[in-house]
Amino acid sequence: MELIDFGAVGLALGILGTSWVPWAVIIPGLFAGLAGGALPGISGTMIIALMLPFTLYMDFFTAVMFLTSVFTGAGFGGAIPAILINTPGTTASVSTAFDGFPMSRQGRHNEALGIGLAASTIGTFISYLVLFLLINYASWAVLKLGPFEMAMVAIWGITMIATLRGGNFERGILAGIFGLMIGTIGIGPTGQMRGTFGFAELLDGIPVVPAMIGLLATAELFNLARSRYIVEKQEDRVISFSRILQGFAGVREYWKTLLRGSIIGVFVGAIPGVGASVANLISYADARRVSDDPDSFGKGNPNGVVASESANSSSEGGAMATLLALGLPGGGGTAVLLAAFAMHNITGGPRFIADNKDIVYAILFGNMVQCLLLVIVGLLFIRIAVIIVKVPILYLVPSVIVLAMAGSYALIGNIMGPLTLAVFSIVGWLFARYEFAPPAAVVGLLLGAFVERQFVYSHQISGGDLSFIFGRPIALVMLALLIASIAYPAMKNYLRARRSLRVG
Amino acid sequence: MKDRSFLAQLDRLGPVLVTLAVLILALAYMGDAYAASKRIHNLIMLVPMTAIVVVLAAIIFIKELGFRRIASRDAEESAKPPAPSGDKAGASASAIAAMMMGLLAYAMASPWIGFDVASILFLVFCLFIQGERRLVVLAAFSIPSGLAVTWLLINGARSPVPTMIVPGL
Repeated sequence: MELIDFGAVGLALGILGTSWVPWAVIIPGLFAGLAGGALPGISGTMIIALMLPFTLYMDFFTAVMFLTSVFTGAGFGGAIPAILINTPGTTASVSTAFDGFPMSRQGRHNEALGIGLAASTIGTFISYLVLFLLINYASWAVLKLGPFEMAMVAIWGITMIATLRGGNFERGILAGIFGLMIGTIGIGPTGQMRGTFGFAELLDGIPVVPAMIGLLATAELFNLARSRYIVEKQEDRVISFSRILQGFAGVREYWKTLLRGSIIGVFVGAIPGVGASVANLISYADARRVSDDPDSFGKGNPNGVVASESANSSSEGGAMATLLALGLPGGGGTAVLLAAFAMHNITGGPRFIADNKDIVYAILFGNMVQCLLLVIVGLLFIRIAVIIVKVPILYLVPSVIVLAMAGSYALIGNIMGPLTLAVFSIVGWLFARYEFAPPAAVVGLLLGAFVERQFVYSHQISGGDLSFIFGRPIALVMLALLIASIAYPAMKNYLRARRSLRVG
Repeated sequence: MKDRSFLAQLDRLGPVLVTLAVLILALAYMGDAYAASKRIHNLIMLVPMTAIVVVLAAIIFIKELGFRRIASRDAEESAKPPAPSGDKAGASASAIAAMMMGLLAYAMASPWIGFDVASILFLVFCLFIQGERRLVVLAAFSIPSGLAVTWLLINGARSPVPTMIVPGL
């Protein structure tokens, strides 16, 4: 198998040069994605889905270019409210808020946004570059992951998230398990209703996006109401294009985090069903783990923003690899892309790559150009969006909550959306107050049904014989990683407690 | 001096109460799933997860309710300066609690009084509770905002939301 098919590369360049139409849709797509990602409650997936009907009269390549532009824009758009109002626009930006918002509170919002945009664009570019080099091998590698491995990756991700913020270990894990459990409410694998307690509205499960906004965003918004402005000092409330640019250029200081985050994002993003929601958190945990000053994370360390944004953006390339190589969506955004494929009678998968390598390369090159354009469009968009720091919190908090309520109504289509948001806001506030790691609960909720399906498939494959795990080396490595990630913090806590007892 | 009010004691027991709520929910869900179907595929994840919840809850209860823990925490807390009841500039803790209850009421009232009116009332309530008393400001901010968001929801997202003022789909 050759690394790059240069004949197909030539044909791809031919496709890109044939018409101006695929280029013309990139900038509107990026703006739509940035706006969708930036509005809490209007997720990236939702904006891509809303844009899908516009591609009906486009040819396949133009449609893919438009939708991937929306995807790329939304990838960074989610970071803007995460940094400015601690409200991740999408699940992929959860850990961007961990350090981005403290930076805003310190009056460093311009720098945080600039760094976020740079990490996002470079991360996306790296992912497509890696994809270009590895696309021939991608389908082979992903096929090696069975359902048990996938379940292990997801549980490992949740464990890392539960412990990554340095809070209470047992409560963090409990929150993750709670998320996993409620993520399976509804129709179970055997077709029976479970955990609905008579509410027919829960048959499809707990509405994930409103629950996520409630757990992470609204709960924090209530705490924000204690202040008058997001940025307390008036002199720090300046919107400075030059500081945004300085932040953008300053990302080179964090090149190690950027590179690690991008690589993590590509590989985690390639795992179907996991994607950017987990990639940003794993990358954040990794950056904190290798840092000389892990305690500075969560208090405005730019490395946290770089780790999160580079991973969530580069996971787009990984998810595209799975979509193109296997025809499996890595997340919500690629699921909509899969629908666009179907609208044009095209099926992704190993056959698609083999038969249409020129189109695949053209898509990858087109996406690399999108990254470069995102720099210009993103800077313009930030300039408008950053005005939010000048709005008094008195007006900002209720307005954002009403917008989020409207978004949850639009998403679910009935009262369950706003009701879920309200209930989970209270749960999120309680979880945050008593160190129960709300992000772990969110990721558990997102992956609960997925993990359960993987357990069922594993049982079906093995026939209930547990020894089948010993014949799967990747599964064993992942199991070891999972045990280590649980045992290490527990051991550390135990040793710390012993030491303090001895000192006392 | 240590705060011995009911709310402060409830706050100290917060981790235990939240853990208890999670434990009850997990056991109730497990029971409901078991009643629905005893087949292995229905319980393959719920049984181990419930077992982990039980173990973790036991650890948290022992840690939180253990005598040594309470004694050391009491010592820690008496050494700390009293927690502020709220930022002077922003909303107090009780105002935040009221806003959370307001959010719940907002969601529940929407089908009855319409999303538009519920949004306006929620905005007025939040502004009022955060200290805004000028009627003109309350009305000038809440009414256009509530109506605009509802209009966008209906005409932008094509959502069939119940309304009282804004024409629905």
